[in-house]
Formats: sequence, C-alpha cells, structure tokens
Amino acid sequence: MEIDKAVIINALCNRIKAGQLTIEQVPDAYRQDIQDMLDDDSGGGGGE
Amino acid sequence: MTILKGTINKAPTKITGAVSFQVIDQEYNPESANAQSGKAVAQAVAGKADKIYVDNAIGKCVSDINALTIKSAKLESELATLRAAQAQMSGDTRINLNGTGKITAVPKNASVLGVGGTIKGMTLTPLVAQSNVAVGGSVSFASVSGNKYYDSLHKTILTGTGSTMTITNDTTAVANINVIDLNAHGLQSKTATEIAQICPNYISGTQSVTPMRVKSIGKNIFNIDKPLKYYKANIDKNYPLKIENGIIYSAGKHGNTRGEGVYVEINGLPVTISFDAEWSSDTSDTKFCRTILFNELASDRVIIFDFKDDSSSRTIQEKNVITIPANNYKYVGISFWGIEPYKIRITNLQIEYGTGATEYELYKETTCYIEPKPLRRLPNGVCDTVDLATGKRTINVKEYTLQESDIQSIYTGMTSFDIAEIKKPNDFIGFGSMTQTLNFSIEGYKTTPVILNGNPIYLNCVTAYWNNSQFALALNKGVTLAQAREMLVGKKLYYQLATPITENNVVTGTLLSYPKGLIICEPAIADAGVYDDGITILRTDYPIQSLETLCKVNADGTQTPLDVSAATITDAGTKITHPALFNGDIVAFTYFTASSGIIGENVYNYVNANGLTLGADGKYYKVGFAIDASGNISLTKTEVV
Repeated sequence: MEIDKAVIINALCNRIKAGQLTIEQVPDAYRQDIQDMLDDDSGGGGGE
Repeated sequence: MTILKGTINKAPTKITGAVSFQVIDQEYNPESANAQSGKAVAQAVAGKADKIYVDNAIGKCVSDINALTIKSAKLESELATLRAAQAQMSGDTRINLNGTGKITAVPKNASVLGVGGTIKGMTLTPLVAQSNVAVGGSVSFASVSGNKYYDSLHKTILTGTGSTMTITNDTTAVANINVIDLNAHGLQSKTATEIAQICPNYISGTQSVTPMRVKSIGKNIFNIDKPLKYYKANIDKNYPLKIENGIIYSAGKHGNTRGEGVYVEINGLPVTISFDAEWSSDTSDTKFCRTILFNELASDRVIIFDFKDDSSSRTIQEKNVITIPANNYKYVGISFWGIEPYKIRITNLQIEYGTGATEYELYKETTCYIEPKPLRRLPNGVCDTVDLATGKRTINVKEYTLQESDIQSIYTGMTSFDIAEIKKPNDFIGFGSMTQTLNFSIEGYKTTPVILNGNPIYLNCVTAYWNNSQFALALNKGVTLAQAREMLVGKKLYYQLATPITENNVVTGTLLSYPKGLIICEPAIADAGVYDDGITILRTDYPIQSLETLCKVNADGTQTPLDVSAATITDAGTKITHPALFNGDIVAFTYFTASSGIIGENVYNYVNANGLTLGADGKYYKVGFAIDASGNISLTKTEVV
C-alpha cells in the first residue's frame, strides 16, 4: 500500500529540518514541493 | 469572645482575640465583592475564630455549583445531539460529530468530502493505579461524598460515600485496576461508557493523549489489499490463503485444515459479514466457513458457529450473510474450507458495523498524520487542540516541573492545615488575580476552587484562590518548608497559559468522510529518510512496535512497496533494516507505536450530502434557481467543499 505523497514530502522536510537529509538527496519529483515547504517555514510560519 | 455577624462588605484589616463570624449573604457569588471579602476575613481570622461560618456557607455554594455544572453539561450534551439531528434534517452543510474514543461512526448521509474538526487534549491522573491485583484482592481509596469515581475493572461509575471505598477483583484472573476521580478532572458528567472509550487502557501516573493518525474508512472495514491473517491450529499456517485480483482463494481442506483466515478489529461492536462464494470442486455438505472472536491471536478465542451450505450447487452463492452480535472481543476472524484447497473462491467480502448487510463496496481509506505531541487538558475543560482543517495546534496548557524555589513558604494560620505556598508562573492566566477556576493542576494533588478551614476533605488539595502570586496546597499541620519541598520538587505543574501558543503545519494528509464509514484514531506515525545501513526513525521518543508499511521512493516519485515481514527492527525499536534496500535509497514508512493509554474526545465535522447533488465529476453541488431582472429563471450550481 502506498503512502500519501503529501505525507512523504512532510516527512522528508522534517528530516531536512533535523539536519539528517539534504535537499539534493530527495527524489527529483518531490524536490520543488519540499523546497516550497521549507521556504514557507522560513518565511515566518510557526507562530502567531 | 468576639462575634462578627452580618453581611460583609469590606474585610477588616486586623482582628485580635477569639472571634466568631457568620455570613448572612444568601445569594453567594464567588466573584462578588462580598464573597472576596468574606474569604479574606476567613483567612484573617484563621487560627483565631472559634467557628468560621463562612466556610459552611461557601461549601454549600460550591456543592450547589458543582451540581449545576453537571446539570449544565448534560443539558449541553442533549442540546448538541438535538442540534445535530436538526442540522441533518434541515440540510445544513457542515455537521459536527462528537468523537469520543478510538472509533467514531460517520452517518450514511455524509458526502465524500474533507473532514474538519478539532482534536482535543485529555489528561488523566488515576487516584489509584494498581497493577496485577490478585483474584480476590482489592484496592481502597478515600472517597469524597458525592464525588464520581470511575472503576476501570468493572467499567462503572461509583458515587463517593465520604468514607474509604474498596474495589475487589472478583474476576478469575489477575487484573490491573484504575480508579479515576472524575470530579477532580471536571469529567463528572461523563458516563462510564464514555470514560471507557476515553481511557480504555490501564494507566499509571499522569497521562495525556498524543494524537498521531486519524484514519477515515468506508463502510467495508475489511481491507483486501492489506488483510490481517490468522490461523487457528499450527497446521493451518501451512495452508496460507491467496488473494489475486480481488478474489480470496482459501487453502482450507475439509478434514485436514481450515487454512488461514482473515480478521478485522471490531472492538466488541456488532458487525455483519457478507460474501459471495464458490466451492467449485465440492459436493454437498462440505462447504464451510467459521467465524472466531478473540482478543489475542494466540489465545482467548471463541468460535461462534460454523456456516454451512447444504446445497449441491457449485455455482456462486451470492450474498452469504453472517451477523455477529455485540460481544466482548476486539477482533473477529473468518476462514473458509471445502474439499480441495484453493478451489474455494471468495469475492466481495464485506465486514461492516451494524446488523444489516448492505451493497458491497471496496475498502476505502484516507489518513492524516498529526505531529506527535501530548495534548493536555485541565480540570476546567481548557485543553490543547489541533484543528484538522487549518493544521494548527493551539497550546493552552503548559507543563512545568516544580523547582525548590517555587515552594516559597508555609502559612500556619489555619487550624486544620498548614499551607504550602507555591509560586504562580508569570505566564499563568491566573497570575495576578484570585479566581476559583480549576485552571491548573499539580501532579498527585487535587485541584479545588477553594480550601476551607475545618473541613478535612481539603487535605492535599490545591487552589489558585489564595493570593495573586501563589497557589495554596493544604498539608498536615506541622509540615516544614523542607518537607513540603521534598514532596513537591520534581512534580509537574500544568497550568493554563495567559496567551496560547500556536504551531502551524502539524497536520499532513487529507481526510475524507465516507457514508456509513468510520473515523479512527491510531498511534501510528509516518516517517521517511535516506537508507544508510538501515534507517533510524526521526522521533526516537516513539519507537516502533510494529511496522505497517515500507516503501522505497523512486526518483520519479513512484513508490515500490516492500514486504514488511522481511524487515528487521533493532536498537530498541528505533532502526529498520531490509534486504531489498541499499545505502542512498529514500525510504518512506509508517509504523505503530505505544499509546499513552488515553484516546480522548474529539469533534469532527463532515459535509451533509442531504440537499446536495453529486456531479459526474465526483464533486458535490448545491443546485438552486436564479431569477434575473426580467424574470427569467435559470439553474445555478455551487460547489460544496
């Protein structure tokens, strides 16, 4: 059974934020989505 | 003797000598100036007065308020049910669905659209937590008259007698026993069934719910793509079933083996099993299936009955139906056998909740994952929440470990107790004020609106209604500051934040509602990373209990599912290795971890399909009429999301 793409992207993003993975290591098909998510997080998210 | 009598409007600044004091203010309001002054007087005269009648007056009012709170909660619950029913009939678009416990049934009028709602925090501290109580053994606890206590062994609610109460293990096996003081948690209006759903497991110490995965499934709870398999006897495991193209081929052979069967989790609820069957090589009276109820795969099994088809037909017998009544078992399994193995073809196997078989549909599932973190709840009902629609977590409750410097002083002016005065944190919502709100708790002690001198039930109770900057904990007379610190240092203080904290993006995945489906809370986590002689999970606080799914993620984004049974879990459940994976591979996986033991209660919402039209594009629309200025009538459609 496959895992939802959004769930994998989020999981890989968490690994990058934890310093256990680099953006270059993620599958090409997911790279832009993950980069967007990282950009969102660094753009002031995480609190209100 | 000094006697003060009359309605108090202002607290005296100093009282000397023995005094007696009586409040005649009949309309007690805890926030009123009179009440505040009365309390101040009570504290001022503590140790001096022969009697403090204000205590009794306030005590009765607190009791009345508690009774009204219970009544109010019950009325609100009934009102919510009526509103939901009204909304369903009126065709309102989004309808709330109370979700207490692990499984929540979705009505048949739900549309296949996104589920919203609130995942709510829950924190429980059992008054008694005794594991392995021998048969005939018992546990005891000091009860408060009228308080409600949940007895986990008998799954019942007891009413406090004001004396010591005892729960005896009258079962035939050793048992773990929890007693939960429901009043201390603000849960006194809950039923035993609700508490059993909120806390189905034995817990010790303070535990909070940690939501991880919310899964929504359709009415057919049997997942043919990921079947759970069992066998009854050892020989049966040598006859595994096969599933190809949606057809189950059983290896069961009459007189030899019943072969492998499949099972699903039902948690004691009634279910209906339906299937089409073809025993293609058999003659009459050799076409069987057997249903089994059990809690553990290796034991505790109850065979309900065999299903036997006496007809001589070899053609497909459509819609065989077996109804399983409500029971005390977690799982139900079914196996099939005939004359020859693998000649038995089972199709359209559907297991659904309820006592009626409906039209077959394939197993459907959507899931969303919540970044695991305990969600807490205070006795006043304020809790942490996760909003499924926005993906935001709101933290209302903070956990703090008490330090020596937080236990600041001992107040000895009360006749019944000495009071440990504990610093209120600066970010506590009650800092700088005195209210009787149960907006904090200290591990191991009971939070009460007030502590009243002369009443022993307040021993070991803690209140915020003391002064602007300190909590008060009632301890035995003579306790020293050093002893109080020894008791309290390291204990957890949970309190309501003055300003809640918001965390974004804690939910991933899309959750859809399905008509007559279920929403299920599970302790499951999704993870992904790069393989390097194995892969270590990201959240090592939540080790693997069992691996659910393992996939290699290819460069083009496709996934190659791997056999989880070939994976090895090492390093105390934190590392996975698999023979089909190589260093540098990107791996995604889901796994089950330990639950805190508490499920909690949530509120989901779904789109009511009543009054909506399902388009050929799979979208739901509200269809209506529009009339322009010339009186021309046209149809309108608005997509509902």
